[in-house]
Amino acid sequence: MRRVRGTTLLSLVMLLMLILAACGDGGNGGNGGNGGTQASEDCDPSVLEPAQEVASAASTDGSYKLAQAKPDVVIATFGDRTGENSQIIIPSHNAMDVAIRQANEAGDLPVNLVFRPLDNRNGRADVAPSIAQQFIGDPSVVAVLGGGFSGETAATGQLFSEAGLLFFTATATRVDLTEQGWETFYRGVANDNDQGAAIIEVFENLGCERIAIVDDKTQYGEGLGNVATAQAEEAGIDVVLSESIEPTTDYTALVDSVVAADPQAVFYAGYAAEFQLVARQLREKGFEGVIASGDGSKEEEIGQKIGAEEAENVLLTCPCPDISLSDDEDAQAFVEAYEAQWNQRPGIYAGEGFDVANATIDAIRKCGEGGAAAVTRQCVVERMGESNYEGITKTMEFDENGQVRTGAISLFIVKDGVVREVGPVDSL
Amino acid sequence: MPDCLSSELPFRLAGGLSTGAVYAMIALGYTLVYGVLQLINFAHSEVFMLGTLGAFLTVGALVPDGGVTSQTQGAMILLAAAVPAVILGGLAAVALERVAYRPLRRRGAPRLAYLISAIGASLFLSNSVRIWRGPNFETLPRTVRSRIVLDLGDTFFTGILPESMQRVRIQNRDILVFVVAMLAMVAVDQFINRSRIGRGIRAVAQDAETAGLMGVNINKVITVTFLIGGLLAGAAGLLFAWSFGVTRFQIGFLPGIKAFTAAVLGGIGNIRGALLGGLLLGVFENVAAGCFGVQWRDVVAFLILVLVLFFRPTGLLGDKEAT
Repeated sequence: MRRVRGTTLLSLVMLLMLILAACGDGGNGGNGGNGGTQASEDCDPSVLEPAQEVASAASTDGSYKLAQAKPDVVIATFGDRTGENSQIIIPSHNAMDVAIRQANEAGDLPVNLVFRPLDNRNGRADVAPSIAQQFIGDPSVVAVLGGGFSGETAATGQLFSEAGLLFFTATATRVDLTEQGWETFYRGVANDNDQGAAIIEVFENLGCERIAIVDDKTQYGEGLGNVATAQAEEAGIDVVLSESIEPTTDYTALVDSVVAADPQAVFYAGYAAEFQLVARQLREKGFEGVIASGDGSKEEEIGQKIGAEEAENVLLTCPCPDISLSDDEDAQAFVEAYEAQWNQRPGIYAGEGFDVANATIDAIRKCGEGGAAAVTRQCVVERMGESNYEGITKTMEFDENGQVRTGAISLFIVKDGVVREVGPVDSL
Repeated sequence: MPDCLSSELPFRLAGGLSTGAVYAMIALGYTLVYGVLQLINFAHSEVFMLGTLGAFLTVGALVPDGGVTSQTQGAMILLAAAVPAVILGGLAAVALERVAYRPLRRRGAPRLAYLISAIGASLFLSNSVRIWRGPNFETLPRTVRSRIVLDLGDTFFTGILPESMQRVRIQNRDILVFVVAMLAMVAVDQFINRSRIGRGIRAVAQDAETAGLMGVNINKVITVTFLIGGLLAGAAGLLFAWSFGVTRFQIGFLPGIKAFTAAVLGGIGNIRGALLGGLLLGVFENVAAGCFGVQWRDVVAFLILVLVLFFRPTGLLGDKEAT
């Protein structure tokens, strides 16, 4: 008996230590040919029509001439390049690469641009500061295009601000990132205030009156979920279930709670790796209502991961209109250049990554008018503050907090396992 | 009486029993090894993980490129995948015993050494798989579709059921997992109670030294004990991988801890306790999620463990003669 007690006690202590040590990983243009919707009152997403694709002629000459004998200046970035949600980040990094190559080829800068993307697997907020320090400590780094997810951005914004280094994100959408008083922080994409409002607008349009909102307890998910909840209340939509659940595999408890609450629609504020599980398990338990998520779930393969049947009519919002649908000349040129370099269509946030990089290059160009030595961190930040660079997704012009002034939220729908854009939420 | 404990309770049972059945199958491994060696085999969660991996690799190899053409084909593939998953689990457990524990037994090592070895083995296995397969989720190709097979709100006799029962929806996977767990438990129970080796296991659990003096081959008994636990963990791995469609290097962590909790809850060292503990834990968790919110699910599970041990330190069935 004593032996049992002693070992059991020891086991309990070990158990508690294991639990404490365990941590969940987390992370987060003018359009042609809009889709649309007929007015609907029964909360049914199948009325949404995807926009028509613009045929693209690919392949340009992708040669890349090394600029000679100019001082190197580094544009750095970091984000989840190899983790479970890397599909959300890689396209924007690829697009930055395209922009930087093009700038080097144009040859009109007094400096040679070097692109340095670092991997922060799964966008971990606890790892991000050490990456930030690497960039800060290297004097040739004049701009950091990042962070990828909101968590890692929140963890490093202060560091970059104190170092006077431009910290310019194309993808981190948590609202309060621009409210921290970081002097060097800029955001080239609409934030979750807009995204949260957008999903509620979509639900309103579809006539959904009872919804459930679930977040994954990450900086991104919680922020987005809170905005959506507040917007729902304003719109008079009944939030019958509000849950937070850390990323896991077995979502039985959540699914049962959702089915028991019987909402017409569920919005999951979190990332693709978990959303695929949540959506699939919801459908398997017989939930037939609308299943929606935000930009964190918008990866190309989400439809296949959830399963073709289960994923039908799943909705996704994103402050990232599909750039390959744009009939703007510059946008099409970008799409061609991206495809030539990477052998795939530009994915989520590619257009935004391209614009963020180019706005930065534009700032560097302006600084460079005073010679290579004038391209300093301070100058780059100052020029960014005055920026009105016209990109392919929007004009990069910022308010006093560094938030870009324009930026629409687009709605996407999964049809036959493929993510298709419906159009800007505003014009549904 | 709040809704979550009355009208919602029958609805929550299906999911709870299904989750609990998986816990029970894994818990059996913990409980058997403890009964025989007084050792908490912390690496058992990785045996489960290897079961999911075996299922994933087999299903991946067998499903044709365009997907399964029929549910029957899917079922055959799943059945076929059971073999490598279960065997892999068994082999892993036996190898674990040989490599991580037997050398310590030979040297008469103190208890702490076993614990450290167990944790070390667990980390080694999960990180090896991480290096080999990468850190992200891998998705299994579809085989049998998981869907509702019984919706009590939609039958010919729905009218006579109370409202709370009408909400019950049972999936094919709930039934399969539960039935497999029950069959497995009965089989193991019978084996332990009826066979010669089973008698040996019970003897070693009671008193290893005397059992040895009476002619029981202790090494063989211990190997078989690990083997049984491993086979069941492998089966649990297959069912889990099929149910949720994914596998990953650390997928065993949470189910492992829950299963261990279940084993302690039911009375560690007691086979029926493992089953009871697993099922109860699965149901508790699901019901608690309904009462307090899903984020409290895991907290409540461990809280219940602490409470039970507080009032009944040997677990629910702990003082009964078991192995």
